[in-house]
Amino acid sequence: MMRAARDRALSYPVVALGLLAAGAQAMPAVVLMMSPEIGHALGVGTSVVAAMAALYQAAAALATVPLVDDAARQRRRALLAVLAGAIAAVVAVAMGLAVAWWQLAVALLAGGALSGTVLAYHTPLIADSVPRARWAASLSAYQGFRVVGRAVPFLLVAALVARLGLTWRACLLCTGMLALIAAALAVRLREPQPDSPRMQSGNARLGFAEGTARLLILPTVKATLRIYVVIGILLAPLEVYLAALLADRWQLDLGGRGVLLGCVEAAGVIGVVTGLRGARASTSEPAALLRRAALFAAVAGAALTVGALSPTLALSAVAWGIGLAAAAPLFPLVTAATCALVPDALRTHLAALQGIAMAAGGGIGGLLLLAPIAGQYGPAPAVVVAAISALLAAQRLRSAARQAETSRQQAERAPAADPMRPRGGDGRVPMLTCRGLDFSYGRVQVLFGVDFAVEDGEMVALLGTNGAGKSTLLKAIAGLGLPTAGTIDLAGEDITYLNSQRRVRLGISQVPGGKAVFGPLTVVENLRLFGYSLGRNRREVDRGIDASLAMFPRLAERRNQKAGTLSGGEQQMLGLSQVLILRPRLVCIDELSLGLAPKVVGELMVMVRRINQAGSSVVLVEQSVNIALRLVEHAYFMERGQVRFDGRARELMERPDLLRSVFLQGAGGGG
Amino acid sequence: MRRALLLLALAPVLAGCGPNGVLLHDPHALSFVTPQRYATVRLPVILRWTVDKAWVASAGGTDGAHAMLFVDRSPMAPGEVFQGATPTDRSGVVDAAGTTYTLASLPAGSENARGRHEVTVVLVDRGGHRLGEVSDYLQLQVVRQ
Repeated sequence: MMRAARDRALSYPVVALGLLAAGAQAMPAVVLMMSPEIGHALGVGTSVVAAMAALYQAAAALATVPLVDDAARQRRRALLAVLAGAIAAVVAVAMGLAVAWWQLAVALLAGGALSGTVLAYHTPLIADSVPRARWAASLSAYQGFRVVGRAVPFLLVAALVARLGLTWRACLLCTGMLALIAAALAVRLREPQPDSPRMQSGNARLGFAEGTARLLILPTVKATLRIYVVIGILLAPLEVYLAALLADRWQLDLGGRGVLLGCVEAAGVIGVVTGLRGARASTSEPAALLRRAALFAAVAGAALTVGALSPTLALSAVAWGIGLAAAAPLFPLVTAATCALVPDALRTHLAALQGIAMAAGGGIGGLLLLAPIAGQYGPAPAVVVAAISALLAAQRLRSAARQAETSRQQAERAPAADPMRPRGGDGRVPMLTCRGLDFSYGRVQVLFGVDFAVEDGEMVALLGTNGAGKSTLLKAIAGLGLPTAGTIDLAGEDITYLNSQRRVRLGISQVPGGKAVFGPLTVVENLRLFGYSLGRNRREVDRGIDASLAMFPRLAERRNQKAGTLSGGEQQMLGLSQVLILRPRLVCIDELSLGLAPKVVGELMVMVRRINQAGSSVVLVEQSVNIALRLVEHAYFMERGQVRFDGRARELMERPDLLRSVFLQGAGGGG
Repeated sequence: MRRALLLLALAPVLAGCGPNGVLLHDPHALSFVTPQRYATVRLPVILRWTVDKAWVASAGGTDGAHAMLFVDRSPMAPGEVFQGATPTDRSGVVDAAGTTYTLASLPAGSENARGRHEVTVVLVDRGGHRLGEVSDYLQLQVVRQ
């Protein structure tokens, strides 16, 4: 029975979230539609009220960031969504009682912040609640509620103000009451139980910025964000100028505008059903969904243009009905397509990004784009510009459909963290595992499917020609750049898209070749800087500094000397000693011997060995093969962005075909 | 999280404080009669409106209660006195003793290419304080001479 419920498009979570979304949309819609009346009652201009409504969009977009960032909130999405819906309803009621403009602004800000849950949580909750094959259908059903939620405020204003002679206050009170009923009906919403353990574990869970960086690697996600901007423009800003056009050209009063726009918006239900029928045939194929969305966007753009330029009101109404009906399926189709391309754990990040694009890009950006056009040339050109944006979106959707296959392959090659990640053959979890790593600088790919592993406590050498990709691999491991495909695990935990600060906290440290210290700071200041980067307390930092200086007596002698005045070897020594403060699990050392005298290099290598003996795994990137291979048992050799050798250091010495390119003379000499 | 929820819970309280004098039902105490809303007019244009004296009395209006017109600018909030420029056609604020006023010119700086202008009427008492929230507004297409 549970399964049957999950397989229906209109399951309880979809209905509950749809009701909450509809309730959230009503408040700003009423404020925008009645902005002249509200302005006159509160003693501010209509444009001030419209700007305050834009605050609502801004607050909604900004609120998504903390909602996504916090792991604890992620586990209570359903509860927060219902709670936010209920509080937003109370805010709408209170807004109807506002007697000063600033009270209205506060209420709109609060309402906007609360509606951040709609943007960040609703679509991931639906995606987690229903099987993948039903995503498009369920999202379409959800969109149906949103469409009705946009139509109701117009009809409500027409009925309450034009027919019953009530004021904007009564409209907001009614809106709040309806939203409260919606929240009450959604109160049984529960956090979905996924079929498999898909959510990332605590340490490796991606924050908003990390998740965003990871998502933007997928070309389809990047392309569709622009589509969401257009979807945002086709919501609030378009409605504002459609209403203005009805007043300006056809002299419709508030009641007439409300009825006509309510009916035109309600036509979106037809569009959702039409879109849903098509989606059923291609539910699991993102490219097909995007191609279908492109068709709808083109129809929406053309019909809205015809409506804006029509010589008769009847033709305008019909054309706008068709336009908004065609625009309505865009959200479910594009959302279902993009959800299928991202890892489960990143759906909330994706929803937040899309919400920001819709609210900030489309809502606020749309108003900023269309307001001057409407002010200078009237509302009709503003509507035409909005329609043109839909036509451009159609073009963009077609190219996104072409990119979908690439994105799908990238997504499959870079699965999100899975606690059940396969382990090494002996059952032990390697300290570091890179699998199938691709890395690009812009369009230039420099790593190609790199597989690289370091066991716990092991020291490995990473060798290769100049430009082979060694430093790039270290960069990817340290989080200074994001791979375009593949995964990086630290002790079995996926850290592929964590930022470098979090990797430092998890135990990865890097000593960059030749640039490891801050010259103007003293030795102790350099060490302290490293300590504070972990946010540790002063006593712990002092203890770390003492331990580092004890290990490097030469640095202790120069503790108050500027790092820039140290010799090259001493600077590298300082770089190594900084690492000791962090007590890392994995140290990546890049070109430690570069430009140093052999005697100094020898001293540094003793230090590296001691760091390794103290328990840290070490990756040693070296140009000097003889130095590296004297220290390690296990070596990798890279050439042109690929790993050409992975094995015992001794065996590498017996591979002149690899070493010949740069090192043969030195390595062969053994010395 | 708790602090955020508390702030959000306080928002409606802040927004709703002081609900005195709010209008849930429009008493139609003040309505423009001519010209029609969205009409195309030439200056000078005669503006005519009606005032419900019974409502004015119930709102605490005295014999000195009268209309105040605002052209292309927003009125003051209820209970407040207009603090801007001296009432004249050119400032866009007019004290009107009766129920008609002939608008001869538009306020300086309010010209726009499309010729759209908005006139709002509110009621004020003898001291210039706005009486309640009642208001009406017209949007006119003003054709250049």
